[in-house]
Amino acid sequence: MSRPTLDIAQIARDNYDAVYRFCARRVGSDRAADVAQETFLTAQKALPKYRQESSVRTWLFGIAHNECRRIVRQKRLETPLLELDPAKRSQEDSEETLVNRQALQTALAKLSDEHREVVLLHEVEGLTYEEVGVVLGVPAGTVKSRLHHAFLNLRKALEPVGGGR
Amino acid sequence: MSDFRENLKAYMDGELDKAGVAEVQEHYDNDPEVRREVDQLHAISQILRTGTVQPSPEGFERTLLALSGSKRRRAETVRGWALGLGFATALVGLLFLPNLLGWNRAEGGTSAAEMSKQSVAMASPSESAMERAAKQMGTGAVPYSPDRAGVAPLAAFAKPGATNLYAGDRQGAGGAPGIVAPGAAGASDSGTSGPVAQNEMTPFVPQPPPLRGRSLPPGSGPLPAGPLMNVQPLPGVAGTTAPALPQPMGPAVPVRPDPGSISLNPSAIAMSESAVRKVVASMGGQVVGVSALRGGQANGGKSILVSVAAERAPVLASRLRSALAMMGTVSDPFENPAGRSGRDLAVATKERTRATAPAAAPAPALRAESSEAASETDADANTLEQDLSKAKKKREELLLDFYEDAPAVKDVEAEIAELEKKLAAARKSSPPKKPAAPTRKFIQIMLQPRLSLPGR
Repeated sequence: MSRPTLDIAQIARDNYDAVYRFCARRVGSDRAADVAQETFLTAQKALPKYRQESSVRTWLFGIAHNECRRIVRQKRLETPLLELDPAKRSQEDSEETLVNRQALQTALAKLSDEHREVVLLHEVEGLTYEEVGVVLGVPAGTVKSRLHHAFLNLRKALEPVGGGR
Repeated sequence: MSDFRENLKAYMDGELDKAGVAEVQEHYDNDPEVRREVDQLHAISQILRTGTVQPSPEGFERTLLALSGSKRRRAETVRGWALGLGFATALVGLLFLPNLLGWNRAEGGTSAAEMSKQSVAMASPSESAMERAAKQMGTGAVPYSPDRAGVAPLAAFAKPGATNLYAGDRQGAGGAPGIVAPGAAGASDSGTSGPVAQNEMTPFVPQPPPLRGRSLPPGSGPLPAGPLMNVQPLPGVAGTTAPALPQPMGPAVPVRPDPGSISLNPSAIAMSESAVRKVVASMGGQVVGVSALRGGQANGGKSILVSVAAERAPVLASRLRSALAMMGTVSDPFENPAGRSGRDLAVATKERTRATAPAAAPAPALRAESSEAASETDADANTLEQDLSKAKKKREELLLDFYEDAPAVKDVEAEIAELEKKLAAARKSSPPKKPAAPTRKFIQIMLQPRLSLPGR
């Protein structure tokens, strides 16, 4: 029953990159390092209260999510665009036949914050519905619903290029 | 139809239960449009998972440093709190424990109930209540009523038998105002026997007495700050002229109000002044000025300036303290046993030692002559010293070539002896360049009534 002792330095080594990227996609690269640092400092303070009911990464994303929201509100930041990497175009020929990347990029920019958040957490960060719910503080069913609607919107935006239904 | 379409994304992600999977699977197998939708969702998902820009992390080292610094800061904070708590506890103990002990000594085991009664008497200073308080003390003295004289009552805080708070009581008990002459019976040991060390003139640190069960009676007026009584040597006047007396004293030196202090009524001040005069006279000193305290109370703050021989100043100051302590007007529990015994009814005292007093002032003509003579003697002495130095040097040089009993060496030694004699004579005749000690000192005694009550 005894829980393993957690070392904040080791946690930072294991998760800093993920937390940094998570922050960079929400507040921009110029502020990501500060927010990531603040996330780990907060985690250091909250470590004794961490019950390990979720993974460390999910717990850190939850803290980072709150930090990013605080910064965005405080600085009145615009949400940065979710950029697609053009260098990887050649590797995705099969997908390219179905999805126009440029149209997808435009569709991603039009997503609401709620939809964008679940898309980021599930598709980009790779969290399960349950974990996304933990990070956002919503039930897994809500995550599922939001994801469905987010992808519906993306598909609608891609319809003319994709050939429609 | 729409239900299973809502589950397509979950089906693709493997987030559906078995029933949901079976339902979607059936549609997927039978409907090419569904398959196409799923493929499209999969393509979008793949692009998002693999094609998004991955920002390159930075600031990891800085974060690690911040984490280690934060850990250190937290440890320091905890240590700081622990230290602060320890100091605070020690301070509280130092402040209150002695007072509690002192209270017990002074009260002689007065019960809380008695204290409460006295408190009630103080809170309602009607005639009967005041008389009751006096009866409780067994003194028969009626406490001073603020309604009558505008001064806070004293006796409610006095120990039984401590009737010497009032001039009338004191005189009625056979204690004339001059009872505090040095050596008189009842004077404190420290104040009447032998010289007192100079360090007794160090500033008095007020010790807050107990505050239990005491309250401010109505009509006692505002609570002025400042010392109730000061005994302090004045700074010396530079040069040799006699000081103009009485000098302006200025406002009383602010003293932290002693919560256990009592008030002096005017007659007590008069008695204190009389006592001061007697003590000063017995020490060969002189009261050179009495003036009202600037900013003093309407009922008679006084400043008494005393001139006394410098070597006697510490003793005089000590005797003044003792004398006033005997009257219940001074309390110095750290230095004065008398003050300790009467602590609960005593007033605050502050003593300060300032710069040394001025030297005796010769007349201007004499001063000029003595100045010339001194300068001549100084010149002679310097010449002799130079000659002596030369002679000694010559002797050392001679000793390099001759034995000690050689006539040349003996001649030089005789010369050296003669010069040393002359030099000693010259030094004896010359006055000291700077007087080592002042010949007169001035002590300022400030008697100031205070309207504050114990418990403040």
